[in-house]
Amino acid sequence: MAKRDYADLYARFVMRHRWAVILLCFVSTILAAFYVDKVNLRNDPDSLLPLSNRYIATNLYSELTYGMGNLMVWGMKVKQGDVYQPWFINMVHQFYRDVSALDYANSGNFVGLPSPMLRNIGVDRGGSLDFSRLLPANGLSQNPMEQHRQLAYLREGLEKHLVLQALLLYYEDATGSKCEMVGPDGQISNASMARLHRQCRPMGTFIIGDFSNELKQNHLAWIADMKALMADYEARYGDRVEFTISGEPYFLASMVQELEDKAWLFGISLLIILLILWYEFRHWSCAVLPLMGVGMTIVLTLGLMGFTQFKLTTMMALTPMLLLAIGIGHSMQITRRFMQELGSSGDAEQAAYQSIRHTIVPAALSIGTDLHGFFAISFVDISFYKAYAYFGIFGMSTLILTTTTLIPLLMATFPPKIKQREYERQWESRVASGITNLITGPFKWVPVVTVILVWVASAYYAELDKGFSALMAGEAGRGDPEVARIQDEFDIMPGVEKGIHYPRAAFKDHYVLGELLGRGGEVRPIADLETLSRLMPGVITANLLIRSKAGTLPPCGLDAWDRMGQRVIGPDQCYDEQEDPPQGIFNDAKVLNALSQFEDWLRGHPNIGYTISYVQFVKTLNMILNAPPLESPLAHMNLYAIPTLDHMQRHPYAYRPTGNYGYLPDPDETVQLYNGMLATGAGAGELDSFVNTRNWDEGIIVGFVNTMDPVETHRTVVDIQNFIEAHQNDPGMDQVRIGVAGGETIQLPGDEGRAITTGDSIPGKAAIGGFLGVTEATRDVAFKEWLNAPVATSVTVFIMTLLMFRSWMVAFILINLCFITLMTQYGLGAYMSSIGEWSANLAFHVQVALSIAMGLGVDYGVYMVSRLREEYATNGGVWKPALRTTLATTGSAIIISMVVLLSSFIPLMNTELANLWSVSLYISEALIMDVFIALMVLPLMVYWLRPRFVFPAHGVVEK
Amino acid sequence: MSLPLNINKILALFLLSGLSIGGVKAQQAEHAPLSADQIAQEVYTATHGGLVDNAISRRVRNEVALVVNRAPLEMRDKKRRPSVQTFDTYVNNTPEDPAVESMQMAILTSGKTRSTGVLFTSYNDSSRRSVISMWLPALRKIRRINEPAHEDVWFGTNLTYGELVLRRPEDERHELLDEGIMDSCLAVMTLKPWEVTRYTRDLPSPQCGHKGKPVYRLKSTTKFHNWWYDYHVSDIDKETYALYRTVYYKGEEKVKTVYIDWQSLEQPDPRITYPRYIYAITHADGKDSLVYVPRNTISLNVDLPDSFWSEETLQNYNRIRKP
Repeated sequence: MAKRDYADLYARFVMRHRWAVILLCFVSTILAAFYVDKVNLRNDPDSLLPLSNRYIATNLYSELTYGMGNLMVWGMKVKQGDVYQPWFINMVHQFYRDVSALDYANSGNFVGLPSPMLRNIGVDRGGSLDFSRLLPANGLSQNPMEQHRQLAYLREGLEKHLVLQALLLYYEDATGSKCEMVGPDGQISNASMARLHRQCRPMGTFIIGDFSNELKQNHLAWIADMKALMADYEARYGDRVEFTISGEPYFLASMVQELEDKAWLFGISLLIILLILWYEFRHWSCAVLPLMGVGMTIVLTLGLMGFTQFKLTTMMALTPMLLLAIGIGHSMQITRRFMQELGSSGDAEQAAYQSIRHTIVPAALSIGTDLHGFFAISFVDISFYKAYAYFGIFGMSTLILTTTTLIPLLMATFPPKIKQREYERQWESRVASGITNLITGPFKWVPVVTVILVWVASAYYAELDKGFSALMAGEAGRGDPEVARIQDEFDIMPGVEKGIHYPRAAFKDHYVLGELLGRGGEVRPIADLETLSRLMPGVITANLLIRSKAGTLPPCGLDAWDRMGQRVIGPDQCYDEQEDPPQGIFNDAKVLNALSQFEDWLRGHPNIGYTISYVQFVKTLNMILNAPPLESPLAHMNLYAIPTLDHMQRHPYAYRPTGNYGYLPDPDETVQLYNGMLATGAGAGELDSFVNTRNWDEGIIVGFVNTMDPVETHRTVVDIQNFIEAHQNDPGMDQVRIGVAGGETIQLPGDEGRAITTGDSIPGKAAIGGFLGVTEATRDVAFKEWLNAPVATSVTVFIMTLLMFRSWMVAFILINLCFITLMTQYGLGAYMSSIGEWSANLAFHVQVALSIAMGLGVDYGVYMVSRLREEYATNGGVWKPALRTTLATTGSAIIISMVVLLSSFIPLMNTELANLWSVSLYISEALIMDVFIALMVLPLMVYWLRPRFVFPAHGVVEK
Repeated sequence: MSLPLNINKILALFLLSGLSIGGVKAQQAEHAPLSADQIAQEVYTATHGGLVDNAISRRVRNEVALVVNRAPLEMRDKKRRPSVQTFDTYVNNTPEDPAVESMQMAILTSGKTRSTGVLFTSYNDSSRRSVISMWLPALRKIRRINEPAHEDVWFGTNLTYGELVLRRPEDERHELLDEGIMDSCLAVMTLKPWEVTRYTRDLPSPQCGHKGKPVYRLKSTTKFHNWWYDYHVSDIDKETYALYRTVYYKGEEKVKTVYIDWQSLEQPDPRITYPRYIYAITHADGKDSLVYVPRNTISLNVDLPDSFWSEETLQNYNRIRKP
């Protein structure tokens, strides 16, 4: 009774202040509209995941310390001949200059054939070491003879370049297969180099560029410039050169641009919804006003996004569509009720009052349930989950005003003229009769068996049995690494891949709309990435952050000496770079040697195409400076090593000075000299991409990973972690720690006062940065949430339905039916995993669909149970007519809601973006299951279990 | 991603030709106005000529010549201090061997490269390439390296060998823009309090002593294609041809500015000057470098045998530091 009073009071209040309410809605919408274009759609994966994750913390720390956070790669492959053709080198030179001049380019960090850091490593005819640029700074000469000489010099120099050759050149053999510079053992040797140059020819080259974070603020303008540049070169050289492009900035900006390019799809979606509404009500006002109401909610929500400057991703395109879909459902309920009341009374004012009074409570309950669903996911430590939750809660809350309240107020102001009972449709009663006959007749088991079969198939693909068996195996089973993994990660559904293939999660590899529009179905970012993956050593990075266990002394301040120049604070308390013995692990030959061996192992890993690190520069310098005079350093690749005592004793010819055959250099002093030479020669800050020259106590190894397959990337991470664990006590390695540890507090470089304390998932495993680390972090987060988020939503939904219906049985039925849908979603994820469709496995971003679907599913259940109770009472406790009426009214509304929701997914499913497609796919699948269950299984469950809410112990309830 | 395997920079950093003690050969006719090309030639002579037999810059108590390099603005924070390298230099403008134009020796005196030395021998025959020998103390080895290129940077600074040594007047087209006076002080590296160390606390302040001096403003356009600058505008002392300020442009964009504080050495011949400091700042990223040579470290026409400029001296420099 109290509820009815509140509803009545509310209806009277808004009717009395009709114009104030209408004005409030319109004015706030107009105000919000001013902020819509300020929506901060950054699409930045760095801000997606929790910084407390060790991998993310490691990645952020390494990006802030060493840069390389926004890498771009351009590939250029000649269609005929090799790269040593004047026109091609000139083109590369010009292209290098053009991309270096793009906005936000850190041009000093660009690497390519024209790069100033690409130098010869050899001796000239006079025996002097020759380190000239391989390509002149101003490009090839116009003189053909000189040009010929320059190309020969470039070829010769590149073929000897140990550090950059593998990164900058793509070699192909006669069969068209890629040739590797590193041998099968991960080592570069005379044999591996000879094979490369004898059997293969260089067909392509790459430019690797780095861009500043400011790009993320203006990515649309940047991508437009980038694409215009590419189009220009493709127009001029496309017949002779195959161009490819990839990189995080390009990917992310392309995603935002794709949303803008396909904005017209949203118009089509709205048009379809408009037509459905018109078909249902046959009045344009009944079609337009609901859309206007929902449109206001969308504008208000987008305005809030713009006003708050919350960092959003393209995934947030889902929010307006969800608001549209859910809002239209509520709009239909209120519009239908208004038309019913108008049909009965013919008085628009009365119809508005009655429709608000009767609809406000179920609408509020339904929206309240959804809000709790959103509330539950707001606790997930993923920024876009939070964004979904915050803006979802806001948007859903406004629906009470913009749909359930505003629509009848507007319709009362502009009433449609209607004929008798034209709001009812024949299909509704036919569908209702058909379903009623099915589930009350002998075939009533069909829907149940169907659901069971779908569940079993889902469990089969998800490998639920394997998961449970592993969990049951206990300590005894941990000998099997997979069993141990399942236990550690509580992975009861090992068939469902929770890891992520980032590019495929972002973009589809193929899209139908492109074919329909005659543009071909290929998605360029993915096609280019796949090409580059084949050509390059690897297109995603694995950053191994190396830090010392011991730390270093702080640098001496001015107070360390008096004015007479006497040291008053000793070298045991502070460090003077000019006077004191060098400190830091990178001045220790043992550590450098250990890192060198680690890198050799990394290069031998099948999923790591190449690595670069500061150690390589030390090794190269060692080879150059110790090769016998007048001999090419490359003829002494055995000296491409860290000069440990053992190494020098094995190669004394290179290290014993003339006339002093008993002397061997001190290893530490030698590497310290190299460090000094490299640091002084490179200039302030230039070496800092690989080693922290402020303390020489930390650095980074960058690995290029040649796979993005989520299973393989995880395996790579585990292999690296196992290697580190196995060698943690080796000489040199015992002084270092790799990655940010669990529970560690780190100060973010360049961000004074900002510190992060990491959590832990599986202790003892080194955290890795780079995109491999981000991929692993995403998997980490996915494993944390794939059960947690749905469970949290379930608990919320269960409590809400329990409070709503005051019936344990109803709450139990509803939540269990939700679990069926949930299991089918896991089954969908497992199936997608089994076929390697990495755009739609159960990666972390897809998991948000689980909670959303659960909210939608329970909505339908709530409406159905409420109506069943009402109709059961109305029909005097006779089940069949009660069921038929329920299906004809609420059931048909549910079907239309589903159609509207699926229609609203048209734009989401037909862009090139895979993230929107996959989430839409999961919600659509769940929606169809929800509707099937709500219409065919829920009534059976209610009928069989006879909850007192519907079937009271003492006769029928009051209507 | 930076892959700074620029070995040429690494090894050739020690060449110090750019710090030659300068002097003017008075070629100017009494009243005839000079053409732009003639002014450029005079500047070249002033900065590359040698009116002294030899010159050295060597640590005296706490005073020592040094190079200070500061990272780009974006990379600076309170934990990063400018890198400092101290050095001694010995220049011989009158070698006994008639084929040799000059011999220059530089020895680093601090940090990890302490005792590393370079001997640079240039020849009168311009077709003959200079010889650079480098002593590597930890390895106890001498290695020879080839001559740097124009665009190679010197000593990790943002100054190139082209600017300091290699560029000749005929590499550019010169145009006299106007004549005027130095309208401002010469800038110098200004450190934040947390950047100052005991080596940099006595860096020079901006030099205003040249303000008001009459100067030529010369525009020089490079003849190199696709070069790192299109042209530069220089303020040149009309009397001594000292180059006070050079601003480099790429298109309309200012790329770099170099300030040089030329000072007298109080010699009977007033044309003998030395660059007290050279300060260069790159405008795109704010990276800057300072080369500072305290007056007290400089000695001229020291009684040193020709054999002093040798690889043996490099090897034994610590023992024979006080010649």
